[in-house]
Amino acid sequence: MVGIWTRLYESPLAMLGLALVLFWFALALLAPILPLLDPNTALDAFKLPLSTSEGGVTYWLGTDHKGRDILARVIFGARQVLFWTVLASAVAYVLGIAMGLTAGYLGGWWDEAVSFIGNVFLSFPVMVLYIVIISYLGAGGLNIVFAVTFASAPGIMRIVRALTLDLKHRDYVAAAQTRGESALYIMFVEILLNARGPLMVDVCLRLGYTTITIAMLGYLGLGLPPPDPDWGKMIAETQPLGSFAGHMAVVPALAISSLVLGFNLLADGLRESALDA
Amino acid sequence: MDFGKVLSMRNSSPSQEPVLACCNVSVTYAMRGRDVAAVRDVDLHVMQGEAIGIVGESGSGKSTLALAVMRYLGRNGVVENGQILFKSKDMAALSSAALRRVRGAGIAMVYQDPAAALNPAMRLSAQLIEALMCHEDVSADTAWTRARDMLGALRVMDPERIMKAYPHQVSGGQQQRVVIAMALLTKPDVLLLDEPTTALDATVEAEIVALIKSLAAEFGTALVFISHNLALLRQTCDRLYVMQDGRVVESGLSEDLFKAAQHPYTQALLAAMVDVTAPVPAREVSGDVVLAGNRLSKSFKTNHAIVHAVRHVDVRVRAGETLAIVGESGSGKTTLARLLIGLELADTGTVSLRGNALSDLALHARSPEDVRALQMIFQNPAETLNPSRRVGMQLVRVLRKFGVARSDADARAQALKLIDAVQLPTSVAGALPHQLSGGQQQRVAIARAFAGNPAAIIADEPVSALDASVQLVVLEALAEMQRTVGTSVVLISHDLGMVRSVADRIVVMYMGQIVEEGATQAVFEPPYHPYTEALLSAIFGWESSDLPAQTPDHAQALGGCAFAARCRHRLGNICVTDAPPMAVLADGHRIRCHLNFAGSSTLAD
Repeated sequence: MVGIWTRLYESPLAMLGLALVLFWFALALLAPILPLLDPNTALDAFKLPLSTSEGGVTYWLGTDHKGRDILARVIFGARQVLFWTVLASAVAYVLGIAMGLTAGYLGGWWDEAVSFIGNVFLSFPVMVLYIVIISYLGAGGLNIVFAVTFASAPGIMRIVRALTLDLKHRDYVAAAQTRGESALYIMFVEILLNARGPLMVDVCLRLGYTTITIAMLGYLGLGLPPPDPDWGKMIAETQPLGSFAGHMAVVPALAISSLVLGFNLLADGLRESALDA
Repeated sequence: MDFGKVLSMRNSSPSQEPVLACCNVSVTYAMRGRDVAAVRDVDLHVMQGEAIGIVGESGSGKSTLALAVMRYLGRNGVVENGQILFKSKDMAALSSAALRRVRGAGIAMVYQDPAAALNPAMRLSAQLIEALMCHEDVSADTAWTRARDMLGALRVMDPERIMKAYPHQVSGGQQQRVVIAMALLTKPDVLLLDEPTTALDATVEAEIVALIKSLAAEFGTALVFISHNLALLRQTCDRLYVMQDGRVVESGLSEDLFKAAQHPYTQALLAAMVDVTAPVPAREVSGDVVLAGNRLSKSFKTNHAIVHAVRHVDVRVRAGETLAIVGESGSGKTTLARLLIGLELADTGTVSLRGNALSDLALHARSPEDVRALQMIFQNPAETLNPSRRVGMQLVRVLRKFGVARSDADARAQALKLIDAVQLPTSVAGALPHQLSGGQQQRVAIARAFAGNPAAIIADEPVSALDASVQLVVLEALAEMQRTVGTSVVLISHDLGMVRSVADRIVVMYMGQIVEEGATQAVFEPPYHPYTEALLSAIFGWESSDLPAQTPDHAQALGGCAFAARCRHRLGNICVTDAPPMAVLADGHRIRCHLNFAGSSTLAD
């Protein structure tokens, strides 16, 4: 458990994962102050990467069918994708942890009720669940958060519940009980704190899934409303034109893959060092 | 060591060559980025039919050595130099096919935890037969018969039923017999036993070791016992090797070693052995009753039956007294502890603390004052402290929680005092639990239990997971705190010998009932309950009482005496059909038995 970060340093793949994730987070944070073109202004359409406009502006990654600079769109898209990914995952974790901790620790009818509801949601095909929720509520960031929470919280609940069932029989939990600690203190300080190793692995994996989910919803037209750039929508819009201007879809696709790969490698590294610890 | 002397002693041995020899063996584990030497330059040999013992504490490299012999080291373990010779052939040079023949048929190994050595998804018969058919060209029927006979030779009651069972359906003692049967079926030349009886009860341990010895003698198998238990090795082994930090620091004939140990480490190990002949400290305890359980009963439902873990148990603990509750696994002693502290609620009966009835109150419904007054020390040092919080913070939390310290600064100062009181350096306060050794963790747990100045502490096997040399030190720390604070202690243990030097009174439990109770001196002197007698004979190495070490079904025992099936003083049918009365002898010494004890009166139960 302790020393996870120092062990992480020793795994080259985990470091590559961390670098990819930090790369995208850094670009997303710095986007407004980077010397970028406006992501939503139409300039020259169908420019190839590294081409230059008549005014002497270089389009490092080319422009799309509407003449918008792809580099600016990918970086501003990262802002969108990461913001909603992190927010949606965080909300899902708050709900999933609350459900899993209480179900595992308190047990009884509450556990059965929470587990049953969780199982009902887990039995829906996730895609169908997303499409039903978004098409009912309409496209938009908060509705994506809502849909991701619905789809992810039951899975998180199950993981947290299983960890809780294991940890609650440890002697230090009994020791806390015998000194009269409240259930809330025991759940958070004695149980959740010691479940953080496996949970951090799950957080990284789930951030990756959520990135894919948001990209997929964007691709299906259920994502963030225009004009904000969204990686999934960028692929959907430009894919039919791929035969003569492939870069328009390839660049956002690479962005999605590299970010998800980063999350997954980081999760793998964390899992290894958590096992070693 | 004097090689010639050993050979001349064993001149009946037909072979002059050792059957297994380790020459200058060093084993290193590669942990991320650094190498850790686990075994260093070990020289060791066993002759045919000989029994040797390797003694050492956890981390001394004794298990690693056994794994190296079997070539079972994990991917990160390497035999750096030296040779391991089995019948003069280098184990490292064997092809994988030859190695397979040696493993099992040549060298067999028995591990500490039988539950982990058996495949939970296969019937025991299939696992036994597989071991035999792998190495010998025999039919399944022959293999089955031989397996059954081997179980019979290991005194497994009803071997046919056991063979049809799955591992989880039989007790730990029976599982270990099956594992040993599996190892002996192929009549190996060498049998490596890595702490073979550590997980078993004392009365079972004595019998299994005796059986292994006699079967090994019959097959001419050489035995290598790996253990931390010096008393056990003394009884079983011809020669001993003492290991410390991966090195053999001393070796020689067992008796010589016990008489005149040369190396300071061996001397320390011998000094740490519980001296069961020292006089029992007599202390007069006549305070008020602090903690009392009145006719406590608790049963658990399993899939098949109702298990009566605790049946009509009365216990009283006086102020400043140490009451030991002794029994084997399944005796209900831990359940009793959990009932007293409120981690479990009794089916019937009451618990009272300083005169206030408690037992109908779950732990969280008790008043803060009652919670503070009764604390517990747990068994497993690795789990007793929250792994994520620094030791000092955990003590501060208790001091603040119980209102002992008024401010955080005061709590920090008192936490340091507590750490000092259990003889740990105050720098421990800043450490995380995993940075401490098991003994240190358990001392912090003792400090934590005493932090609120409780009236009584329940200690559930506080030292059974620790190395022998640390056990006494930790018990001493507990006794010292008890003397200073004047707390009553309920000491739960499976080891009658260990509680002898610290307990004022002893309660012996068997199958959920108290079978004997009395002052420590009285329990160690006749008359005994037959079960106490069996426990004592395991400690003192008395002539084997020949107990069938089988536990009868709880349900079966409900009619008569729970111990009837194992009792060698059994009077006849009355023991099976009638519940034994509690015989009251002098000074509150009580024995639950049909036997007539001189000068006793009986108590209706």
